[in-house]
Amino acid sequence: MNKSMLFAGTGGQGVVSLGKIVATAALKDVPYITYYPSYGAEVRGGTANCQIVLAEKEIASPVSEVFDIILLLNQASLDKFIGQASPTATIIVNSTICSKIPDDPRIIKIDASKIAIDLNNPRGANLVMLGAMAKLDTTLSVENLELAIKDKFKGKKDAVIAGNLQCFQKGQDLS
Amino acid sequence: MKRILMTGNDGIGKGAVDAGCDCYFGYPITPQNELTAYMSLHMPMNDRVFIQAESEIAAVNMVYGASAAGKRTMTSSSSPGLSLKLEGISYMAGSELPAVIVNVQRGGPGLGNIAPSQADYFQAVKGGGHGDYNSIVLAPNSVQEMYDLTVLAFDLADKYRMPVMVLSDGRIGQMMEPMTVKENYKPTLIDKPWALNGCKGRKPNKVWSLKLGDGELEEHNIKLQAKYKEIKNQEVLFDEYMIDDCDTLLVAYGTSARIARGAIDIARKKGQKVGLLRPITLWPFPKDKIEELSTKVNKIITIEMSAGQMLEDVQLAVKGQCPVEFVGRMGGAIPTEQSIIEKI
Repeated sequence: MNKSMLFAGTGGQGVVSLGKIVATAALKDVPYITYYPSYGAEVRGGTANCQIVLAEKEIASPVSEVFDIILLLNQASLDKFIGQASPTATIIVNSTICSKIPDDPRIIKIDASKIAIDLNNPRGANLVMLGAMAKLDTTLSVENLELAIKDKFKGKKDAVIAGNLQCFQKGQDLS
Repeated sequence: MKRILMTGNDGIGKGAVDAGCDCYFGYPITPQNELTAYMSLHMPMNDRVFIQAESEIAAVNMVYGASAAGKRTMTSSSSPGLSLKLEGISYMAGSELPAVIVNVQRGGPGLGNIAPSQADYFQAVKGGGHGDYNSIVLAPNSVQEMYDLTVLAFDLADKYRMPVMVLSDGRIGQMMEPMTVKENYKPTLIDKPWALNGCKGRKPNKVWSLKLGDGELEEHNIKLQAKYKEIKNQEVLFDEYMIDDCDTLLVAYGTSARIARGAIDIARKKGQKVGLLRPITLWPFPKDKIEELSTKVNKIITIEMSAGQMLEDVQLAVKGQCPVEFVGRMGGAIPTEQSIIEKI
């Protein structure tokens, strides 16, 4: 196993959180993990992305040029990163926000932002996307991902945790 | 051993706390802010001292003071901030004071940018400040080594009574990896009979870099150089990857070494015999090992995120015994595996 993942969107959409959740979920079973965020000048409305590599063997470069799994939360990220998908990549696109989605059999469209809004948790679109990913790629177990989500929102109100788990569940149901 | 997920910057912080760092003094700068934030939380939690100073210069001079008092102490910054600390580092070298200095490098010169870089190599390994001195320079290439080498830095600083630098970059500082920590670790602290910790019942100590007496300063320099010679004999650290049969040798440290390793894995699949020598101590530099290898390989390629700084030390070690080529990017850019493969 050697999986490289990219999560990209606009600042505030929770792509960095998504990366931390996935890295945390991998901690139990995956021998080697690297997580690398874009950092610094990104703010709400700017661009944000993070990369994760999961591997059986020691990871040489923590940064990939080609990705096996790509989650794209906005149009700018789609335009920028679609060319870095491997020929067999799983590409999940937030179709609520992205209007110009190329005709590509690797792309799975998820109406993530709308679903999150319908669930009364507009900031949970990232977890809807993660749910879809968990269904399509079983590198990480749903159980470990759920534990990582709970860990990420540790200390928050129960309703917040439940709302985020609901988004994650809904994403799995869709794909 | 429990695995925890941490950023490289946090890994340094955790290493410092575990190594018994008594006092941290710093001033914020990207891309090392997670470290300052970590220390602001964990130093008070462990009844230690955290001070966010009014400037980098103030911070390094606080380190001087705490070190003179016999405490384990550190400061951290990134490239432009590190330049400001050089006067203090030179004073500590002159006064033979142990301290740990962290530089999470970013692109330069000037304010540059906040992207990862290795362009402070010369500044780190050639002294940096004024006068004939060196600092031991440790170059981690993973979050685990950010932790391990920070612990080592405190021990080496005390052992040789001198500043020890952890030279990292924004990429390793920002990335997260699993690491294992030393559980219930108790640092081995050595006596500091020279420390300014109250002279009741003994002769007063003096920690001072001004030596105005006739011949006094040269004598002091001879003593310092003898110490540096001992370090060169005793403390060289490096890592090898697939060098036994290689005919092309890559030399790289830190982030560049990770990328070099990725390039080697690709080249090996194509049947090319490539290996990596990764200096862990940049000063003292593993020049004897590189000299030995230069007689066995067809060529050496140095890879850096700079215009070619360590390249000069590699060339000095090789003494013209084989060609030395270079792959590098500047200003916060990072070499790709592909650019290395093309050079192989």
